[in-house]
Amino acid sequence: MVIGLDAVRYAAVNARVRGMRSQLLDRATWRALLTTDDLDSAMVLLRTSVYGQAIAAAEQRGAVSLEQVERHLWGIVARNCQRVMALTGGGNRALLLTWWRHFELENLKAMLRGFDQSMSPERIGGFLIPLGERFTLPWDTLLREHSLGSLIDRLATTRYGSALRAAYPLYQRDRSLFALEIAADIRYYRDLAAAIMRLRGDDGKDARRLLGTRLDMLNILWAFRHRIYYGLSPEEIINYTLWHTIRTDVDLVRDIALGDDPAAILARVWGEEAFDLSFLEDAQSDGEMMLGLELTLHRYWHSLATGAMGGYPFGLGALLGYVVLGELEAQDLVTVLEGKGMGWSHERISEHLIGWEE
Amino acid sequence: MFAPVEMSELDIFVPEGDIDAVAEAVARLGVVHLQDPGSLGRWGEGVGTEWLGRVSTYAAQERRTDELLDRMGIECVARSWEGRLAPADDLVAIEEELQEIEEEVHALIEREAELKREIRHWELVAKSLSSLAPLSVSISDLRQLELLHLIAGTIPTENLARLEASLFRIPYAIIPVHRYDGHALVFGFCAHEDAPILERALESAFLEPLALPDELGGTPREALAEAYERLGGAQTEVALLQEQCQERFQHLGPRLQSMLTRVRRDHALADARARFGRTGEAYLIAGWAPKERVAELKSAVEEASEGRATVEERPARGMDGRARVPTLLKNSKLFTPLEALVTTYGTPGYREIDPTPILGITFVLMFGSMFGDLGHGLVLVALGALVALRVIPQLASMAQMGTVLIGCGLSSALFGLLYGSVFGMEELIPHVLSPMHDMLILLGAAVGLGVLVLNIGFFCRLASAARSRTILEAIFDRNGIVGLLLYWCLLALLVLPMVAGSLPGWVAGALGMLTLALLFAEPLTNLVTGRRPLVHGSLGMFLVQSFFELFETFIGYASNTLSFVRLGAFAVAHAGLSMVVFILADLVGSGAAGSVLRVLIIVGGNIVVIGFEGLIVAIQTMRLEYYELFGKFFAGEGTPFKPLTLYTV
Repeated sequence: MVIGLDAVRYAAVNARVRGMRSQLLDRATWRALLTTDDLDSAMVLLRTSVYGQAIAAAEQRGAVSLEQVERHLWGIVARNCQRVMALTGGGNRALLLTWWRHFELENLKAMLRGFDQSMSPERIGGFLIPLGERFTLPWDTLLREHSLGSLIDRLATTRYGSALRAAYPLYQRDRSLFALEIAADIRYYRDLAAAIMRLRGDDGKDARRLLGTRLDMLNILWAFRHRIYYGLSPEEIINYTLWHTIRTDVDLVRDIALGDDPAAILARVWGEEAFDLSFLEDAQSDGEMMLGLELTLHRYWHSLATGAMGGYPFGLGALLGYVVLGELEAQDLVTVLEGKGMGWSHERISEHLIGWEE
Repeated sequence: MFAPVEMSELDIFVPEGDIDAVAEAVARLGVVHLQDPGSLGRWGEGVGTEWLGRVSTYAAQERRTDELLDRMGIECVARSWEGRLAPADDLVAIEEELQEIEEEVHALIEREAELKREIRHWELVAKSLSSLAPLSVSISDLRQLELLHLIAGTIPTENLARLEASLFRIPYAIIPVHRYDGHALVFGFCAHEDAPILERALESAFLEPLALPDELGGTPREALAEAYERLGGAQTEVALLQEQCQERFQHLGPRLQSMLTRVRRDHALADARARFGRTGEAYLIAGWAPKERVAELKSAVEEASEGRATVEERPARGMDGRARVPTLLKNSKLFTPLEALVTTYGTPGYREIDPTPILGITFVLMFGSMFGDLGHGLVLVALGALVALRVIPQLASMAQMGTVLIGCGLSSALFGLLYGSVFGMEELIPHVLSPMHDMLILLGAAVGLGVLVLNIGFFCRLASAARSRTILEAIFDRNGIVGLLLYWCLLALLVLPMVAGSLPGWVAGALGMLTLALLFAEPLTNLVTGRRPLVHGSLGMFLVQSFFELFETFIGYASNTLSFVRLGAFAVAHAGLSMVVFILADLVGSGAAGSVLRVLIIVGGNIVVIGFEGLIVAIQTMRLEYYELFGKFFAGEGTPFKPLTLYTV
C-alpha cells in the first residue's frame, strides 16, 4: 500500500528526473573532453553540450574567461536544482530549497571577499553565480553597500545576520575573512541539518544518506583542514565545526583535533571496508593527504548518488541523487577546464576527477 | 462581438534622431503590440543588443529604489514624474541621484545602528555591573584578580553548549548572567596559566568581549550609576537622530517615489528599444495596433517626429504573416468580466471566434438551473453587488467577478421561481417544475439543453473555420459539417422512433453515409484541400486507427450529451440538500431553546448550501463549458495583446 502511494507520488517526478539525468554528459563526451588538446578545444566541445549555454552566457559579458564560464556552469546546476525543487512539495521541497541556498551562501562569501578587497560593485557582481529570479537576498542593494561593516548591518534581518555580526569583531581585529566565512558556513549547514532531520520515513532516510553524508564529509574535512592548514587549537577546531551531523559529533571532531589519522576516523564513521585508503600511504605531504581524503570522500558521495538513482525509484533518493550527480559533474568540469588551462595531461586531470573512471 | 478587435500590421520607419521621441509617443498612446525581433528579417540584424544591458540596469535601479524606500519605512508607491525620457542616457543621471540618496540614507541609518549598538553596550555593562553590585570591592581590584583570569562578553546562545564541550583541557567556569535576542552575557573564569586556551576558545565561539570602560571607577554600585547615565545620554542622542532621519526621509521619500516612475518608464522604453529593428540610421518599429486607433497613432508619430517618420499600415494577416497577430478581446460591459474565464482556458486566436458572449449566456443559464432557489439567488445577487461596488476592500480586485455573481444570482432566482423554492422551502411559492417530484422531466430537459449547447459548439466550429479560411478542413471534421450532420442523425435515431413510432429509411441511409465519411475523414480532407498523399502510413494502420477514432467519436457524442444530465442532477441535489437542512432543524426539541437552535440550523445550513454547493455548481458549470463546449471549437492558442505602455501613476 505504501509502495503504491509512493509510486503515485513519485512516478511522474521520477520520470522527469530520469529525463533530466539523461542530459548529464555521457562517457563518450567525457572521454572526448579529457583528450582535447587545450582549453580552447575543451570549450568548443563543451559548447555543443547542454553546458553550451554557460559559455554563451559568459560571452555576453565580453571576452570569455574561465572564471565566467565556471560561475555560469554553477548557475546551470542551481537552475537544475530549482527544476527538481519545482517537482516536489512539503518537506521535500523545503529540504531542496535549503540545499539550493548553498549557491546563495557561495555568492554571499564571494561578496564578503569582494568587499574585503574593496572591489567595485560591478566587479563583485561578476563573481556571483547567476541565480535567476528566485533569489532570496537583494544582491543589487547589497552590492551598493560601501563597506563590509554596512554590508553585515544590511544582512541583519537575514538568516546570516546574527552569525556574521558575531564574527565581525574577529574580522576587524585580524582582517581575515576566515571567521566570517566559517560563521556563514556553520549557520547555513545547521539549517541544512535541521531540514534533513525534519524529514521522516523513507524520504528522511534518503535525505540523511545523501545530504547527511555531505554534512559528515564537510565536518570531517573542516576539522582536518583546521588542524593541518590553519594549526588551530582543539578548542577552536570544535567551535569552528558543526556540533553534530548524522554520523559525526563533538567527540569525533575532538579526536581529529587531537591528532587522530584519517584512516581511524573514516573507519569509525563508515567502517573498515568502506574506502580504499591507499592514498594515505602514497601521500608525501599533509597537502597531498588532504587532497586524497577530499577526493575519496567525494567519490564515496558520488557512488551513493549513483546508487540512489539506480535504487528504489519511487522516493526522494532518486531526486537527490540527480541533484548530487549534477553538482559533482559541474565540479569535475571545473577541474577539467582548469586542468586544461594549466596544460595538464589528461591522465593527470583524470586523477582529480570524482565521477570518472578509466 | 464574437470576434477579436480588428488589427492592422504596422511598420513605423523612424530616423535615428527622432527615435526617442517617437518611442515615447508610441508608448504614451499604448496601442502598439511590438513584434518579436526574430521576425524582422534584415532589420532584425541591427536590433540593439546593447539595450539588454540597459534593461537590466533599469531593473536593478528599480529594485534598489524599492529597497531604499523600504529601509526608510516609506510606502513603495510611485509618484508622478513629468519630464522628457531619454532611456539611453537617463540611467547615468538616475544612478547619480540614487547613489547620492543611498549614501545619505545609509549614513543616517548606520549612525542610528551605531548608537543603538552603543545603547546595547551600556545596557550590557549595566547588567554585568548589577551582577557585581553586591560586592564591596572596587572595579580596579576586579580588573587585577590575583589567581583567576576573568573575561566578560556576549556570545550567541546557540554556541554555548559547543563552547563548553570544546573546553575539555582546562578547569573553567562559564556563567551566563543575562540572555537577550539569541545572545548571552557571560562571565568566564579560569586559572591565569590557562587564560590563552580559554580566550582562544571564547573567540572561536564568537564571544564579543565586554570590557568595562576604563573611566568607570569606584565600587560596582557607583560604576553602575555612571553606566546608567551614559545609557541615558546615548538614548537621547538616538532619539534626536531618529527625528532628524524622519525629517530627511520625508524630504527624500517623494524624490525617490518620483524616481520610481521615471525608472519604470525608462525601463519600459529600454525594453522596447531592445526590440526595434535597425539598419544604418533608420529604425523600424514593427507591430500591430487596433485598426480604429491607427489614425491616432499616425498623428502622434507625425507630431513627435515632425513628419520625418512614416507609418505603413497593412491589414493583419493572422497566422500567415510575419508572426502571430495578437488578440484584443472586445465585448460589451455585460460580458467583459467573463473574459477572465475564457482566457483561463486560453486566449482566442486572432482568426478564432471569441466565445465570451456564448460562455456568458450559457454559464449563467447552466449555473441557475443547477442552483435554482429564489432566496439563494438573491443572496448571491447581494454578495455580487457588494463585490462589484467594492464595498469589501479585501475583494476590491475581484470587482469584475461581482458582476458574474450578480448574473448567476439572478439566473438562480429565476430558476428558483420555476422550481418554487425559497431558501429550500418549497411551500412558500407555487412551482412550475419541482426538482424532487418531476425528476425525469428535469433530467430530460437538462439533456435537451445539452443538445442545444453542443449544437452551438458545432456552429461555432464552423464559424471559426470560416473566419480562419479553413472551411475545407472543417467539412469532414468530427466537430465540423459531417460531425454535425452525424450528430443530428444520431439524435433522430433516438427521438423519431419515440415521437413518430418509426425510423424513416433516409435517416439510416444518411447515418451510414456520414459514418463512412467520418471513417475516411483524413483522405477526404486531403482530397478536397489538395494535400498529398491522401493517407499517411500504411492503409491497414490507417483503417485500424480510423475505426477506433470513429468509435471514440460516437462514444464522445453520447458522453458529451449525457454529461449535461448533471444540470438536472445538481438541481435535485440542491433541493435535497436544502431538505436535509429542514429535516435536521425538525429534529431539535421544542421550547425557546429548541426554536433558537432550529433557526440557527436553518440559517447555518443555508449558508453551507450557498457556499459549499455554490462552489461545486460553479466548478461543474466551468467543466461543462471547458470540456463539452470549448472542446468542440476553441483552440485558445492566441497571443494576448500587450501594447507598449508607459508606467502611469
